[in-house]
Amino acid sequence: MTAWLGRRVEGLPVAAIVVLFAALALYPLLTALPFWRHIVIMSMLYGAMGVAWNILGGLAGQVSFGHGLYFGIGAYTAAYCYKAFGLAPLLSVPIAIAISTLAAVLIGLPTFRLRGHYFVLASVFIMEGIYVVVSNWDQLGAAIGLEYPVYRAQGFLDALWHGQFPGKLPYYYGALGLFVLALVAFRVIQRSPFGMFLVAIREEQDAALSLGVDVARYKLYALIVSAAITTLCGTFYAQYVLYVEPMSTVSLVVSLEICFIAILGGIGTLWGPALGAFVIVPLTELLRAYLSGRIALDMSALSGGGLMAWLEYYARGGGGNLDILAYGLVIILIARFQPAGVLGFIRRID
Amino acid sequence: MTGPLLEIAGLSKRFGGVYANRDVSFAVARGEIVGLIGPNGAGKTTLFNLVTGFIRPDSGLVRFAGAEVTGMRADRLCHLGVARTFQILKPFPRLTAEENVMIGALARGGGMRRARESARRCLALVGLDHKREVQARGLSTGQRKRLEMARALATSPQLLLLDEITGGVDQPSIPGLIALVGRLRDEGVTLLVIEHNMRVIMGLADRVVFLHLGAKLAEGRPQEIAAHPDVVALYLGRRDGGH
Amino acid sequence: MIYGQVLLDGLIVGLMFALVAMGLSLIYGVMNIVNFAHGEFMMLAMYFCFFAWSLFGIDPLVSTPLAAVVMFFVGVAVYRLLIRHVLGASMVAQIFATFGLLLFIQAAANFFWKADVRSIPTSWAAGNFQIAGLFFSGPEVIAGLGALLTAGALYWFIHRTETGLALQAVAEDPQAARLMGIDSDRMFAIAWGVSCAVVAIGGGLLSTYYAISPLAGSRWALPAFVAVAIGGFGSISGAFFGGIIIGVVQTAGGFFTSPSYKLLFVYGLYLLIVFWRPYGLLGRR
Repeated sequence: MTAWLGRRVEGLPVAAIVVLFAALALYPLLTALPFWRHIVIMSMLYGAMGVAWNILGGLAGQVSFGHGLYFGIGAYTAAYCYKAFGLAPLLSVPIAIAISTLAAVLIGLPTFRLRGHYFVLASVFIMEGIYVVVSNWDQLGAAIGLEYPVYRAQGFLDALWHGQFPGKLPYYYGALGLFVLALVAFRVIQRSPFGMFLVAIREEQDAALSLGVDVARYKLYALIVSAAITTLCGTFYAQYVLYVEPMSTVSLVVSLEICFIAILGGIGTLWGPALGAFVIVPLTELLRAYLSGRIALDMSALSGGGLMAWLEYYARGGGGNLDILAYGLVIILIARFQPAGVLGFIRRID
Repeated sequence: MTGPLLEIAGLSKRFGGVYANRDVSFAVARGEIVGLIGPNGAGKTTLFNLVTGFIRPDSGLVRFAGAEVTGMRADRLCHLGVARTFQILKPFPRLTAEENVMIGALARGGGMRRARESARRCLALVGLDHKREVQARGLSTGQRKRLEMARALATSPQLLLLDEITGGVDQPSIPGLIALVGRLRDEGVTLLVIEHNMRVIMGLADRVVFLHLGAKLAEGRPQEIAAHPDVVALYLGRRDGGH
Repeated sequence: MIYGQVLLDGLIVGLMFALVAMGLSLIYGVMNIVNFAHGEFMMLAMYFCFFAWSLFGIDPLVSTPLAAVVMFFVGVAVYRLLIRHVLGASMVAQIFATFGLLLFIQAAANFFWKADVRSIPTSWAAGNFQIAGLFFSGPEVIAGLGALLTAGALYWFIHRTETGLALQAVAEDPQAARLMGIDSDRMFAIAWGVSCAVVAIGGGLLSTYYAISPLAGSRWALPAFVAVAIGGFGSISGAFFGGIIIGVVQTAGGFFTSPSYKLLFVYGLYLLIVFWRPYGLLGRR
């Protein structure tokens, strides 16, 4: 038993992992501050998405700036099915996953032929294009989006069916569940032949091909798994925030946030994105709250594509923007001095 | 089975106005070691790329074990039993030597444990067993060449295409490499070998194919090729004082 | 008649895109880096011209060349301080370096100059006129001509001057260029400087009629990236024609459907071309 506890999962002893996750599980039962609870929920949610992104971006080395699409598919499917058909959000999950898998195949098949910068840019253009489509799609609420009717559930099962809980606790454990799911999925893949093929593809694609690795197929598998987990996170997000609109879902902004978390934390590693999320999300939320002030968002006044809209959003933040300034500076410094991310400071990564 | 293991017929490829390979035809019988020689730019590596599916030929035929495989993608061809190494080495830099070779073994199926055992065997065969925990980017050129061979070997090929294994390797290491190729043949692998070093080829190959400007100029036993007037003129000519 | 107007407007917009795209393509061709912050240098030039006008009354057409010179040195500085150090790093690190730069410059502009939109209402380039029923806006025509001139000058620089040929050599084969005595570090710095100077001219010309704000650069840069991807990264002429095509497609698409869809046509065109030619029409790996 003690030998097992001493074993390390990517540098971290099992004992430490148990302690950390126990703390995470017990945290909401010990304190009741809603702001911090919200921050931890968002950290776990983004952590899950960062880990999922890492399957494609870190293991397989295919850097995509388009994961906001899958997040949005989860969110919009849940919201739309609920509003239009009264379908329980949990039941919308299989539909959302089916859609996201289809999208992954449609996007992956042509773009995985591209390499390097070309692939990254293709993902940017597709993301921006989708933003334009969704922002103009009346059935999905166009730029305004879809708002959930608030539902006061009677009892736990009723709340589960409608996906709306009165307190934050169920959401907390939902996010924790997603976080653990993502980490487990990543770890299982990382240690499997599939994971080794992905790394081989990342390191030297032609060599992998010559050794019998079906490069196109495995890239696609990685994308499908990565997209599916991200979609689940999108469904969760919709039920948590009860308001789904393009800029916070199918936008380049969200894609970049997911990426940054994985890369700043430590690309290609198990714990990197988790670490990145728990550093970046609290920092961003705090900076946003204290430096930029509260911003009343005028949706209809926003024009242009996703990234532009986001930047406008921040532009209207009055004398603020120090948070983006800091963000940009940190990114530059990391790129310049420690591309291995925060984890690179903590331990030597190859 | 009877019949040659590899058959190439009329293989051609143009890049712009230049023929990289022009109407190349020859065969490799099971258990043979065939050498592919020729001056720089003769189209040897391009021929490898055409055979292994990295480049599509403009015309011509490739047959492996009797089945037509022209233009087949490299990974599918590998599953049929054709493996190759690269002239410009392509190790997986951040993977260890063992992990590098495991990739080759894993693509054949079976789990991680079987792949690890297979990798250790292949590494031992090429004499890299003591380096198996070292990252590929930490290996010397000669070691990387042997790693590529081990990796290709792990795919259990029937035919192995070796591209310039002695290039950039110091003189004392060459006999070891020659012996290694001999061991590969003993393992039952048929070999098609691109080589620059004439001495290596003469000692190693059963037959030699001589390429020049993309076309096959001569084919035969090593001694025949060495005495072939065109080969002498083009390849060895200057030293003989002629031309 | 309406087609003629749409084509004309598209051409002028396309020329501005071409200018932005050419600078992008130059940097990528020489050192394999996609400069995500490219549009921000255009924005800085716009502000330069604005303040030259509001503080000293200098006409933007006069301050545009000045802006180009200033931005040349800014480009060299950015190269020396940041880019040079990520040349050997992974693609992800390089992407991050220029993306962080984008955020930083834009947030700084927001911080110092606020988000309010400025404009330069009076300029030597003003007025409008009609020829054969086609409506021409003075500032836009001048901007288009200026862009054309600059594109021509850039082309001449790359293909007819010694420095330009050296740049091509470094782009083609860095090791061979070094063997020939070409200092690649100096060439990289020059590439950055020229790229920023070219895009600064675009910014200066735009400042005569386009709204100046911290976001202006991004608005022009995004379609320009598509233009470069279509034309082929590394090809200056490809970027030029890519820009023209994108300008026309965007204007026509937006006109015949709705302005909010105009970018969709751009991305759609990109997808079509990339399925057929993954590396662009004139591109190389």
